[in-house]
Amino acid sequence: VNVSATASGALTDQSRILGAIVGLALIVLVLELVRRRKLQERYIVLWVGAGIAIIIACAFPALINLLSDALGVRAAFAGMIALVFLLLFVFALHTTTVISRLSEQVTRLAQEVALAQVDNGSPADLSLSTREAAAPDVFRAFKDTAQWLNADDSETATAVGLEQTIPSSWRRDELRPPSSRRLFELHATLDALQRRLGDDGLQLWLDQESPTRRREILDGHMESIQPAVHEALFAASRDQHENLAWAPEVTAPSP
Amino acid sequence: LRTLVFIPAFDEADSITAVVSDVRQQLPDVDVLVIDDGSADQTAARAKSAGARVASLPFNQGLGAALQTGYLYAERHSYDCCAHLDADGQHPVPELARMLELIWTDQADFVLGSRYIDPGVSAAAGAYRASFSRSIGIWLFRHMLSITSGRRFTDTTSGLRAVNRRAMRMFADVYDHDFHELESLQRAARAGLRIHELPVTMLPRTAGKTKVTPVKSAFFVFKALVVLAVGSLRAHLPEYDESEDGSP
Repeated sequence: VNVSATASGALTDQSRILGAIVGLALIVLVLELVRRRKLQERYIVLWVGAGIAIIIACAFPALINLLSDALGVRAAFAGMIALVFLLLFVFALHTTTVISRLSEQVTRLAQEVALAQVDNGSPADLSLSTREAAAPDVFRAFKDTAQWLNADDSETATAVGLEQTIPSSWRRDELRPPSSRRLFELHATLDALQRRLGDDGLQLWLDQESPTRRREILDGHMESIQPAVHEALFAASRDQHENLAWAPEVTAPSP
Repeated sequence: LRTLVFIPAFDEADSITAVVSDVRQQLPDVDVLVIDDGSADQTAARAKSAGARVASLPFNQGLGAALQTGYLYAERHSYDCCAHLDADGQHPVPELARMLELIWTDQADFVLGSRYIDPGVSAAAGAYRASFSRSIGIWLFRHMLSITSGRRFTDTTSGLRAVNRRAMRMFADVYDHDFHELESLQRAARAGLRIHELPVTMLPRTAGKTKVTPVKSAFFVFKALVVLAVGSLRAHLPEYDESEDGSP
C-alpha cells in the first residue's frame, strides 16, 4: 500500500482494483437489464459509458489527478466524488422531467378513454360486453383454429387463404371479413374432430401421415385430408353406435 | 344556451344519486355528466341509474384531471356554457342555478361560488365555518392570488364554478392537475376574463368523508404558493375569444 498516496488523497492500488470491479459489474448489470427488456436500449450508452469511465479512472489515476487539479480540488478522490454527484443530480433531474411528461400522457389517455365511452352513449361495462358479443364469432373461430393447429396468426391466415392483416382488423373494429367461408369450414371440421377425438386425440391425429395432416392444412390443401377426416368422424361415430347397441344387453338381465 | 353540468366523483356512491337527481330536477334543461374518477364503489352505476351520463376514468387521476375531462367534454360537444359542483352534496343546486343565470345573461365569463364573501351570511345557520388551520391556508391563498393576479378573491378553492365558452376552452386546453383551483383562477384573471364571485351558502357533507388531512393540506399550501409564484412568471396566455376557428 502506498502510504504517501493515501495521505495526499490519491487512490491506493486496492481501491483502484475495487473500483474497476464495480465498474465492470455495472456494465454487466446494465447489459443484463437491457437483455431482459427491463431497461430501454437508449440508456445503454449512458450507463455503460459510466461503467467504462469508472474503469478508465481506476486504470489511469493520473487522469483523476488532472481532473482534480482542473476543478481546483486538492484531494483527487474528493474531486471525483463531486463530479459523480453532479452527473447523478443532472440525470435525476432529467428523469423527473421524463416522469412528468409520462404522467401528463397517462392522464390524457385516461381522459380520452373516459370521453370515448360517453360518446358511444354506452357505459364502460356495457360497451365492453356489446363489443364482445358483436365481434367476433369470426375472430373467435380464427383463434380456435390457430390453437388447434398450434399455429400463429399469419400461418393460420395463409391456411384459409386470408390476407395477413385481416385477423387483426377483426380484432380492431369488428369488420366482417370478405372471405371467411374457408375459415368457418376449417373451424367446423376441426371442431367436430376435437369433439370426437378430444384435445390430445386431435393433436395426435394432426401429426399422423407424412407430410403431416397439420402441414397439409397449413399449406391450404384441405381436400387431400378430406378422406381421413371422414374416416375419423364416421369411424368414431360407428364405434359409439356399437357401444350404444351393445350396452343394453349387459344391463338387461340384471333385474 | 346549451348547458352542461358536470360532477367529478371519486368514491361518492352514497351521495351521488341525490346530487344527480337534484340537478336534474331543479335544472331540467341542462345535461348532466358525472366524471367517475376511478371509483372502486358503485359511483358510476348509481350516477347512471340516476339519469346522468357517465365518463369513467380508468384509474384515479385526481380532481384536476377529472374536472378537465368535464371541460373537454363540454368543449368538444359544443356546449355554450358549463358548470361543476362537488359530488358530496355540499353545493346546493339553487345556488348553482343563480350562478348559471349570470353566465346565461352574459354578465360574466366565469362565476365562482364563494363561501366567505359575505360576513353577514356566516352568522346564519348552516353557513360555512372554516377551521383555524384551514383559515390560515385560505388567507394565504387569497393574498398570494391577489399579488400574482392583481385581483382579489375571497374563496379561491371553491369547487362550485360556472363558465361560458371562452373560459371553458381555456380550461379544456390546459388545466393544472394538482393546483387546479388556484391555477385556473390565476390564469383566468391574467387572461382578463370577467370573473364574478357570488356568495353562496354551502351545506355540510351528506355522506362520505373529506379526503383532506392536516399534513396534506399544509404540504398543499406550500406547493401551491410555489405554483402561484411560477404561474405569475409565465408569459400571458393567448386570448381565448368566442371565434372557434382562431386557434388559441
